[in-house]
Amino acid sequence: MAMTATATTTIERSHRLDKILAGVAAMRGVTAAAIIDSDGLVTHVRRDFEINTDALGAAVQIAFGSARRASEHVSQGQTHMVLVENKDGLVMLAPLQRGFILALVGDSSAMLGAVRFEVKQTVPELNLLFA
Amino acid sequence: MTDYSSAEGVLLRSILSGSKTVANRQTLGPMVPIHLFQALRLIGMGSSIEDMVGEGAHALVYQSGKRVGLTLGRAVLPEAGKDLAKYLELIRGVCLQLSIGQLVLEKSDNSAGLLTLKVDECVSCAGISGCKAPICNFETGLVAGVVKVFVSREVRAVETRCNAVGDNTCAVDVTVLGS
Repeated sequence: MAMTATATTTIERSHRLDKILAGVAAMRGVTAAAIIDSDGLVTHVRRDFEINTDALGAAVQIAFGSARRASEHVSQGQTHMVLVENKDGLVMLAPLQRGFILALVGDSSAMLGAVRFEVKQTVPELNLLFA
Repeated sequence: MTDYSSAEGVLLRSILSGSKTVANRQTLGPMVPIHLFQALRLIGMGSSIEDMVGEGAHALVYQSGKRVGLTLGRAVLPEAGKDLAKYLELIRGVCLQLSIGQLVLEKSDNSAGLLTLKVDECVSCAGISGCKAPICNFETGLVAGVVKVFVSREVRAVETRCNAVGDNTCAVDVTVLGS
């Protein structure tokens, strides 16, 4: 019985995560939204194109970890977001609880301010599911 | 400028051929002391990487092991077919050939999509003690890759026991996702 309840909770949580990601991915210019665990495993993803998820997951954890470590060297406190601006778009990374990271990919039509605002709104919502 | 991908190809072909000789090592031979391996693994791919990328080091090492596990798994799967015992026996043979450790299937629950594999005499943590958490992320990733190939599904692997924390063996719990 307890196992059934746990399984149901896990499935419900997964559905809610998917729904939140779908909402973020529906924003103008956002081409992918993913949640990555501390092992670099992409646990949930919404995308408009093919991604090597193993390579992406590890790269996200390493990029975020490097940015956080660099920030520690200049004593700037906690890292809330990492932004990568590229020729054809952007990648935004935000830490969640328990080592998870939210990663968003946008093309050149993505509105940086709007995406950033959405991430700020979404992180607390996601953290409730990881608590 | 490096060319790790070419080197990786040569290395993996050599491993899978079962070759016991190494060119350019006529006198010293194919073996190296375990302490050298552990220095590379725990410092080169451990504490020094952790200094640079923080918690990202865990994912880097895990995914590196997973890549090796995927390669080994794909190489032996045609011979094993759908026989898990045979598949793991072939993987165990490669692990013994490379002295990675003694891979043992401890528990398997198909209905729950759970497997527990032990890595006795693990090359990364044998002789290491006093750690507060398991350290064999590479072997954990390797096991994940091996199991992923067999089940054709994504998996999550977690090291639950480790010599480095006093467990006298390493154990990895693997959950098949979406089962």
